[in-house]
Amino acid sequence: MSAVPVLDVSSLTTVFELKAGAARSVNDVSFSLRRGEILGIVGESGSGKSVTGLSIMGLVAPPGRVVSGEVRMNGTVLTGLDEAQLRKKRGRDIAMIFQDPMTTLNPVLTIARQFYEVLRAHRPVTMREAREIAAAAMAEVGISAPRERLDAYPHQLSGGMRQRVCIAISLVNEPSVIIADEPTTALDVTIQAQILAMIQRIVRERQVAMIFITHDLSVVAGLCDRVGVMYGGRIVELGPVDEILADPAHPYTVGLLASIPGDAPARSRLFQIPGTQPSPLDLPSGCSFRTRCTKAAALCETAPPFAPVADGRQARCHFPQNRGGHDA
Amino acid sequence: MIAFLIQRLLQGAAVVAAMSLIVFIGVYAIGDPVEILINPDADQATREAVTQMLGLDQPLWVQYWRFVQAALQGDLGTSFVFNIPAGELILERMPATLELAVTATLMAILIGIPLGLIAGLDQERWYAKSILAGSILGFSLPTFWVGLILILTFGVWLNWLPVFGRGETVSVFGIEWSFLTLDGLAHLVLPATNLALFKIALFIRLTRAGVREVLPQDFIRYANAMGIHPARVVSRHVLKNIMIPLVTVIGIEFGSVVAFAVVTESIFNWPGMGKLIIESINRLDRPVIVAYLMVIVVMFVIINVVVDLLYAVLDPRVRLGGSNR
Repeated sequence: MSAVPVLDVSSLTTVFELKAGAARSVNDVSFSLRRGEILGIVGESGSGKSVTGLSIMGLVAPPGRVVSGEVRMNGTVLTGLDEAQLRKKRGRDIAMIFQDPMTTLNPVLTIARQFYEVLRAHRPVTMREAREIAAAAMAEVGISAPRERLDAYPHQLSGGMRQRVCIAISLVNEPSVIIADEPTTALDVTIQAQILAMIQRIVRERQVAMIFITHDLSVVAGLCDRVGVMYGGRIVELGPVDEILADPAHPYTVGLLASIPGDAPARSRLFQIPGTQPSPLDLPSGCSFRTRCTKAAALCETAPPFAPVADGRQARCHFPQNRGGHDA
Repeated sequence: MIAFLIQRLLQGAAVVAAMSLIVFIGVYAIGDPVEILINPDADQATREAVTQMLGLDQPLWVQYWRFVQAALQGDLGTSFVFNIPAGELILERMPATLELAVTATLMAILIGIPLGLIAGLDQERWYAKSILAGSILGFSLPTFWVGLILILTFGVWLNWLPVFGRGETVSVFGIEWSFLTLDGLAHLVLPATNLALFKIALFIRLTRAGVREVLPQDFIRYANAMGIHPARVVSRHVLKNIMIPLVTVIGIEFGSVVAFAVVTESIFNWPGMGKLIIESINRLDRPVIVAYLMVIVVMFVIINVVVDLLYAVLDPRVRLGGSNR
C-alpha cells in the first residue's frame, strides 16, 4: 500500500430535491482510499451508501445533485469535470460493479459484445482484439472455458458466473478505483465466498483501490481493510476493520454489531436498535442518531464533529464508547 | 427450427382452411349477385340460365366444395363481372397497394421510431412533450378526413402535389411501378402520408413506452457507469431491447395497410386492391371478394411467421420450438 491516496473524498454532500422537501442522502462524507486497499461502507438501506458511490461516479440522476464537497482522484478533481470529461473517466479510471448480476448485463448482447462495448468506449479496438482481451479477463476471474462463453448470452450463464463476468468487464480497462455496490448480496453464500475471495485477490494483485458497499458486517470483517459506518447520510465511524469490530466507538456501530444474530445464544431474544432510521427528509438536529441512542444527552442536539478517537480512527459522537465518555 | 417451420405451416394451413369456410359462408349470405349482373327486365329463363352458369343453383356445400377443389389447383374462381380469373385480377392490382403499403410503413418506421426515441429520452423537454401531444392527433383524426385535408392543402391550395391516381409508371418484370418515376413518386407522397400518419403516431407511442421501460434498467445504468457514449447506449443497448414489440406491431400494421387501404385508395383514386374490393362488394362479385380475403389471410399468416423468426434474431432468449403451446 502506498501512502498517497488514489481517491480523496471530502465533505461530499448530495441532495435530492423532492416535492416533500430536500433529502440529504449523502451528508458531509469524507474519506480517502489508497491503492490495494478495500474500504467497506456499511449501513442500513437508505443510509446513503449507494448514493455515495453514485455521487463519486457523478451518476446521481435528477432530482438528485451533488451540492458540495470534492472528489479528487489521482490529482484530478472529478466534481469539477463536465459530463463528457467525466464519461472518459468512468469505466477507465473508476469503475462500478452493481448488485444484481441478473440485470446488470444487457440480455440481448453476447458477452463478447459487452466487453467490446466497454473497451471501445475508451480506446480504438477491433472485435477480434476485444475477444482476446475478454477471454483473458474472464480467465482471470475464474471462468472456465472462457472462449466458449464469449458468444453466450447472459441468460445462458448462472448468477455467480454472471457476476464474475460483470467484475471482469468492470476491470477490463484497468481502472484504479472500483466501487462495488453490494456485489454479492444477490448470490448464494457459497458463491458469495468464492466471489469475495476472488475480489480480494484481484485487489491485492492489481493494487486497485476498492470501495465495497454492503449491509453485511460479516462480509466487511472478512474482506475489508477499513470500514466506514454510515447512518442517515453521514459516516459516523471510520477506521481499520478489526479495531472497529473489536472496539466500536460510535453507539450506532455498537448497536449494529450487537444486532448480528451470530453470537446470540439459541432462542434468546435478538438485539435490535430501538426505533427506526430517520427519513433523510427530516433528520434530527445535531447528531442524527440521538433519537435512538441510549447515551443521548443535551449536548447531542449540537452536531458532533467527525473527531479522531484513536490513531487512524474517527467517530462522529460527543460520547464515544469505551474512550472516556460520560458513562465510563 | 425446421420443426418450428413445419408446425407454423400446419397452423397456417388450418387458419386458411377455417377462414375459407367462414368467408365463403359470409359472402354467400349477402344478396343475390344475379340481380345485379343481369338486366332487370330479363325473363325468368335468362335468370335461371345465368344462375346455373355461375353455379349458384347448387347448395352451399357443393359450391364450397367446388371452390376448395379449384382453389387447391390455384384457381380462386372467375370474376362474375369481368369474366377473368379473380386471382389474376387481384395480382394485377397488388403492386399498386404493396407500393403504397411499403412506402407508408417505411415512412412510419423512419419518422415514428426516431421521434419516439426523442420523446422517451428527453421526456421532460418541451419538444418531447410536443411529439407526444402530436401523436394523439395522429391517433384520433379519421383517415378519410386527413386525406381530404391533405388534398385540399397540397393539391388544391398550394398545388404542389398530384392527388389523383398513380401517375407515370415504369414496367419492371412485367409489373407497373410508380416509385421509379419522379411523377409516380409525387403521386405516391400524399396517399402514403395519409396512411402513415396513424402508424407514425403508433410507433412514437410504442417506441417511447419501450424507452421509458428500458432506461431505468440496471444494464443501461451499467453502460453509463462504464463510460459508454450516450448515443451508443441508445443505438446499441436501448434500441435492440425495444425491437420486439416494435417488430410485432410493424408486421401487423403492414398487413392491415395492405388489406385495408380502402379509404385512402378511394380518396386518392389509387388503383390498388382496396378499390378493387370495394367495387367487388358493390357488385357482389363473390369470387373476387373470396379470393381477395384468402390472399389477405395467407399474407397475414406469412407475416406472422416472419415476425416470429425475427423475434429469435432479436432476442436470444426466444427459442423457436416445435413444442405444443
